[in-house]
Amino acid sequence: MIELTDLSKHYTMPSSDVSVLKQLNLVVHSRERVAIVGPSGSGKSTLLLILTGLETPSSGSISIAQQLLATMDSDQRADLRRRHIGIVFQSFHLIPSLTARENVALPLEIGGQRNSRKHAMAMLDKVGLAARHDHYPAQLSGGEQQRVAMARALVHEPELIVADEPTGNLDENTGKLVMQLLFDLNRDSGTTLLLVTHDVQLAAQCDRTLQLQDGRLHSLDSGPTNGN
Amino acid sequence: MATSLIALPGFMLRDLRGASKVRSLWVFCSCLFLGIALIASCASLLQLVRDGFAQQERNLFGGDLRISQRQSITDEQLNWLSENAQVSRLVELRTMLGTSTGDFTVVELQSVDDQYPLYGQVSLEPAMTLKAAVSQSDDGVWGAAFDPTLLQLLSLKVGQLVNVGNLQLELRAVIVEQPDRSLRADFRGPPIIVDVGALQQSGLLTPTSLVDYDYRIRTDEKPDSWRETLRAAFPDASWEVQTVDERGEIVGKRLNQVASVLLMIGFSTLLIGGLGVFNSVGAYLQTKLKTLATLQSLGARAPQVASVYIGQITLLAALASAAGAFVGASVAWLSVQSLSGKLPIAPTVEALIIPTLLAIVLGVCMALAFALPILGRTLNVPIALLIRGVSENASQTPIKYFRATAAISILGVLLLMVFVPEPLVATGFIVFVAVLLVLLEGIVKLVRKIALKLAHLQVLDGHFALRMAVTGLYRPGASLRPMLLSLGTALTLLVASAFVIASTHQALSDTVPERAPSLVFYDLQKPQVEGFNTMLEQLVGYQSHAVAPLVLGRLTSVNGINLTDSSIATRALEANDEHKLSYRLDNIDNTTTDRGEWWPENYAGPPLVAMEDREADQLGLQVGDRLQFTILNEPVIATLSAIYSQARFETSFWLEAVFTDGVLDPFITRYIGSARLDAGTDITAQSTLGENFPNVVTIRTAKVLASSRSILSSAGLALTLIAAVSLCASILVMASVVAVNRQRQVYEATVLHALGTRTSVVMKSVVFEYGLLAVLLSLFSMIVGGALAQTLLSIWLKIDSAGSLWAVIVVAIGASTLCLLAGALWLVLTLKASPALLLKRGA
Repeated sequence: MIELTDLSKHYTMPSSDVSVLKQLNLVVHSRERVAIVGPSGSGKSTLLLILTGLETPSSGSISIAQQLLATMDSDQRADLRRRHIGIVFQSFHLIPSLTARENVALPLEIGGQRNSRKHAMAMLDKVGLAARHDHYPAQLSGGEQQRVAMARALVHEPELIVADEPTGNLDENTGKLVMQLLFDLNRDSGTTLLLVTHDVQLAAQCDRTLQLQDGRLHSLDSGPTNGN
Repeated sequence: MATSLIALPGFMLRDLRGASKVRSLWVFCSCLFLGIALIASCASLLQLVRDGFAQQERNLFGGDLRISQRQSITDEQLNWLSENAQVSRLVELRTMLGTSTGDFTVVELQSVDDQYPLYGQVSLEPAMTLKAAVSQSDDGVWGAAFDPTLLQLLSLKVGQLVNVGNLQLELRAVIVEQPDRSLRADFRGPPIIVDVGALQQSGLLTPTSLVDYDYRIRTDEKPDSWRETLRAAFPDASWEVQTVDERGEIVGKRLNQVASVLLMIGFSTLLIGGLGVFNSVGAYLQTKLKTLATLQSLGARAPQVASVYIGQITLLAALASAAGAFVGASVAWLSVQSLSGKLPIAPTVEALIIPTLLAIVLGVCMALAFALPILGRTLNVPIALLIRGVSENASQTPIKYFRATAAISILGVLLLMVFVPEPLVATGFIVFVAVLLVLLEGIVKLVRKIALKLAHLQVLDGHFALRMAVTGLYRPGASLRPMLLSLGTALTLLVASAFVIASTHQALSDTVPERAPSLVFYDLQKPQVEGFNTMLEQLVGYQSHAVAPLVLGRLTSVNGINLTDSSIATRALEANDEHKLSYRLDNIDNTTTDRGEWWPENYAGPPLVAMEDREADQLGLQVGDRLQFTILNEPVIATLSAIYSQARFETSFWLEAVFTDGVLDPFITRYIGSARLDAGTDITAQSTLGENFPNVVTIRTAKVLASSRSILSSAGLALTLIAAVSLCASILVMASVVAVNRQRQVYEATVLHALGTRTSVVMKSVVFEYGLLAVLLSLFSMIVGGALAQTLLSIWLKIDSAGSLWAVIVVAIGASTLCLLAGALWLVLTLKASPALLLKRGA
């Protein structure tokens, strides 16, 4: 599903260059659940940006669903995200002027799919928010907003879900409930899950946990890994 | 606490230091500047002209009272006047002035006596007394002083000989200053002053000539009581006696009417700009959310935080309004200075102080009235949400802010009433604005309902960009309302102006040449008619002509009730008005029946009369009314058979009543006429007629039309300028709407792009959203602007507008598309979706 080979990313600063990712390798198989943990500033978000095609690496190659990102332009990468990837953000990033149902329907509408609202409603039902379908984000709690965001990430049945600190803005209990729901949905839909989190307990629920440190991925109990 | 209370004003200024970089604040200032500049210029102009007229009132009027009559008063009456006041007689008549090169033009021939002028003074160039300028020379040539307009019109020079009537006059001096020069002199004919002796020898003073005898009175008594004494002395006299105060009232009323209309446009612009103020304050506060949060988290009390931002808004509003008021006052000052040759008034800077200060106060009121609701709402957002950067729909405006807004709005309305001299117009404006707002609100709701239904239609499935655009019309924060309110109002004005301009131009350019005669004649004496007809027929390029009698008379009673006794004020006033009466020969005045019907051609029954619609409507007349006219002191009774309207720009004469054949016969002394000639022969014809019939006033229609076109072009230019200023304000408002929505749209575009939307699709949805707004705006401005202009055209100007509908469509669609396309383009160019930043921020 995901194949990162010798991936490097460095930023040129006025005084010196900063290397965030160094010759990083990672293979994530289909339907696998992988957690990436690491301290703040370790490059987790940069890694997510690169593998979702939102940022370009300094070197190395990325293959998502057997497609090489390096050969794609911005629009083709947008198409890739629309067809194969669902993203759950830490700050939800719902569109405030759209209702819960309209937010969930967005990926389907972007893809030109018919009956998008009907599908969105069914998805909202799955996350337990069918009754709140006509509420705007401002009228929902943080947990509810994140459930809507998850419904939006899954509604178009992507093969890969990328979740970036999905509980970061939620209290502990709500966070647990939301994650349980994410794992349930992931299991039901059989998608690949790449989860970035600080929470080691949460990471432990995944098939594999990797730590990003010094620009490289490490298995939690071993040295640098090829990610396989 | 005292320390922090003192510290915050300082913070207010420090926080404002970087404000020049905030684009929304420039929009805020520009909106206020434009509206206040317009209002200040109109109000200052009114004040300057009003003060000027008040200072020069007696000079302009020529005395404290004026007695007007069509013939000279009796010796007994003149003796009485001389015994009771200082009297000056001025005899006036319109006639032709011809040069040795064969050029002719209409002039207002004035003869004055030694007492003239009673107030002010006449200045001549070269410097000499008026008596010396008009006296008869040793070789028997009478002198004349002439208006400077003739210098340009006929290239006349001092020392040149000209012909007036049977006389040859020597132009001895140019009139540099004439205190009572009529404001209509340029239109009716420039004045030329001669001695009374010259006038008597001119052959123009026949018993049937149309001559005005004005007796100016200077008295220390109150004009009203002096008039009462006069009336008591001569109760049966048929003269018209007007006091300087009455004249002042009439001039003041007209000034007020014009100023009120101009001020209304200024207030409309300010109102449109108010929406810009609302939006730009909203956009500015969005940039201040973190500061608000920090201030509150550091322990600043709500009133202190409020004082910072209310203080900033007030300060900026005062500065922008002061700049606008200063520019407006300067424009007024320069306008009056440039008109100093035409308006004999001396402006003073002191007159500008009050309107300028009031305009600044009005600007601050307006800014606060529009800014306080959004300010209150933002300041009311809970601190926790502010820290998280959430403010949209996060709170409501507290009631105290609404109360403050209401109080300031009332103050604004009071200032509007102070500014606008006609209370009825001011009230009408307030009611119109209220109705317009209700109407627009209704339209907004209707459009939202329709958009909501459309968005859920399956037909939009698969058309993501279009669906996003449709939902953009009804979702929270949609720009429909502010766009419709601001651009809708301005485009309505623009469309209405364009429609009026296009229709009048078409009426002038297309219709007139087909119907208007080449020459029209006034004051043709009865014995001259036969010879005149013969000469006309012999003119080069002659096609046809028509001559009709012109009789002057007053309407004295309606259905047996004397107008002077009428309880209807307009009827009582009309009792003094002289009307132009005639027959319907060859439909000389190009009339169409409005109500009732014309009598058959061979009608031989009791006298019937048809009246012009404006006159009839002013008097409240109905077909079938029995009207009594007084002509040369004889009563003439006729039944009102028809009410007709006259085509504005095609009309040669403005006849107020037309009688059945024979009724006016005993009173006919002079005629009017018109002639159609081949193109290009009118100047020669005018010269020939001028030489042979010097007393007959001959006017070339082409020249009048050129003047009309010039006036209309100026009016059209003024309308276009006003509409353009309004449009500028609207574009600023649109910019503020776009600015306030930009943050939202950039955010949405970023999320959509992260979810897999191609950038081109995001842009397409923006273009669709603005396209839908353009369609709505076009429709709205077409319907409302078109209806407004149509009312004006059909009721006031009486112009057929059918051929000019294209202007409505082209301007409405063109202007709204251009405006919104520019807005969409700007938005698209500034939309830089950056999902990477979004993810980093959210991570």
